[in-house]
Amino acid sequence: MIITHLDRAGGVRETDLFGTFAALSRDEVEDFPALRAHQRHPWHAFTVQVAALAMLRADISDPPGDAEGWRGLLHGLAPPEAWELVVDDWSKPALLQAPGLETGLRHTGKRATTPDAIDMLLTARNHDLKGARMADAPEEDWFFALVSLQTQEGQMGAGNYGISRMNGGYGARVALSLRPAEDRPGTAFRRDITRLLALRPQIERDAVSLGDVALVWTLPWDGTSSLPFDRLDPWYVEICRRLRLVREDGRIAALLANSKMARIEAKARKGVTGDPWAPVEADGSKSWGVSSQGFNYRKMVDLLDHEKIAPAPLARPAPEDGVAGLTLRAAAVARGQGKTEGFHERHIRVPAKAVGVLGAGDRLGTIARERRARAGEAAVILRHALRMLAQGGPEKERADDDVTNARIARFERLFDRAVDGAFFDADFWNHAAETGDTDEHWITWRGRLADMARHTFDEAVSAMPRSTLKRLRAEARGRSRLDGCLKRFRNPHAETAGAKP
Amino acid sequence: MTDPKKSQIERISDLFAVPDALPTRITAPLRRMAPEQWSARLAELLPVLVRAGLRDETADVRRWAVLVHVVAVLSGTTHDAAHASSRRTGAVIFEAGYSEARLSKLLSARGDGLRDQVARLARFLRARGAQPLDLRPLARLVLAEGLDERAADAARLDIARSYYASADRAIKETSE
Repeated sequence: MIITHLDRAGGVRETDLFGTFAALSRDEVEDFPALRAHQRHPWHAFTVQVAALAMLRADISDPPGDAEGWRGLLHGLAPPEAWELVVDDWSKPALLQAPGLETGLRHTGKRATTPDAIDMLLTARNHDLKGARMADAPEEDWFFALVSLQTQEGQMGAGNYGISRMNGGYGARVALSLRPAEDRPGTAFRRDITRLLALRPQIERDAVSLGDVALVWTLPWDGTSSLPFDRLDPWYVEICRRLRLVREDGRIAALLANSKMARIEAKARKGVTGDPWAPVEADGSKSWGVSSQGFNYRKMVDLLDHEKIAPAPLARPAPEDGVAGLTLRAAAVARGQGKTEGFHERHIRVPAKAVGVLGAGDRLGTIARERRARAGEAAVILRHALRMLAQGGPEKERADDDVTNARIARFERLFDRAVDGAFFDADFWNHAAETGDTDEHWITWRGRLADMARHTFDEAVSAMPRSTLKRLRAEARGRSRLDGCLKRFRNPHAETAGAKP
Repeated sequence: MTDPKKSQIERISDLFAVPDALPTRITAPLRRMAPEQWSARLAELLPVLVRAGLRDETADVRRWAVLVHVVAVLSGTTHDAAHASSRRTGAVIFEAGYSEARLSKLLSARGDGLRDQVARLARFLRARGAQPLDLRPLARLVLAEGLDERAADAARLDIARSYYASADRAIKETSE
């Protein structure tokens, strides 16, 4: 199997799987051009987990820089055929494909002839990202599709169970990580492996159970049984579907089979599986998920709120990370019942002065929560003013009017986007990095929110259809309402002293 | 007599508010004038505008004519102050009993129709003794309408906001 990467000089390189691990180790990879956006984290996680497992087993701390070194390491984890994309003998594993599929399926099984037919994105009525377009796809496309399918897919109807590393069949495998300065595949690869190996003793001490199954695809699976969770190594690489790739007339196809139950018995764990990128509720009850709203500022505040969400191990800074140029990265494919609700990703630069508060104490979470609360208050003020505007400036606005609420929704979204863009600005991080608390930051934030609300209202005045006769009344009452409330909002403690958010 | 820091409408108001600042042969015709007859009253208009500091040769005298007429009406024969910056236009109009329908008509009028509505407003307010009021928004509206609609709209909004703010206060007081 050939995997293509761009090297740091922009040249195109083709290597096998072991050569790819070597290139990552040497930090020679600029990009994998065949990777689709939603496949990036699963691929990164696969390489890191496999590498960490192999290095742990070999008791080494420095990753090899050559392909042969990696071949030896990976063969120490699983036999050679387990690293081949297509293996004709179905009694043996293939890469991310378990042995045990009924041989009769070669002729009668459901087949997919393109890799994007097995990968997980299901778009409504085949809109947007079209399905099954990748005819004549090279092997690496199949491989990346397999990684995505087997390590982040959810439940898709009867017989198609999802992964264990998320809460429920319609959840999402959220990845939260701290990316180093000069964020390249190789730097992230080396950073995460180093951290995992350093965290291993703690992981083993904290583990409820410590199994020895690392690569789930190497075990036979006939679809009628689940693997007990306590048999698994904390860094296990799982599969969730039964399939085999075959070569037909020079092309690859996938033969698919159902299963009667999930591959791993982990439903009760609700996604708390030791995934080193997964944020988990602070009480350990379940993993944290994402919806079609993605990683807006409200959700990111949750992720930074350590009273609510325990940070993912690989999202905590470590001394070797340094302080310069770090980025907090969140990524996930949101899922609904029988559909995907978008790939979501967010990067937040963490200034050097604020690295110390990331993952330590609750100051960051407290400030983030308060900023979010103030944004919510400004949104309510704006909503009332917009309603007044949309309803033509009546003496009293009607709160339960669906037509009005529909008309103003896009302006509320406009405000929300403006807040989202400003939320994690320099002032936020400066505030977080300081040890005391003063009025200054809160006055600044309130002032910015008021400006954004006013600007959004101006946009609504320009854009909203309304009759001439009511127009001035609508704007007059709406703007008076807005200005009056924002004046109090900007400085709520004008008559009293003290540092208050 | 005229303060250079004041706007022209304020200076015009000052002229009418001081007895003997302008002779009756000037003020009376301007008070009785119909806005569309402005060209017949240039002999009275121009001295007022010059004394108020209007030097711009391109000034639209037709628009200034209605503003001078408004001041003359509000000032009356008793030289009352027509303008007071602290008395918000819309609030005074509301408290004088000017209906929302008439306000809507005023603020949606254009061209000669606007000048006519502004003149009627002045007579309405004088009849109820509502003067003085802040004449600057009305002046901005008359001078900008049709030329700079953003400025005209801002003036309309200014008047509407203070009108409805007073209306809402009255509603609140009634309900308490």
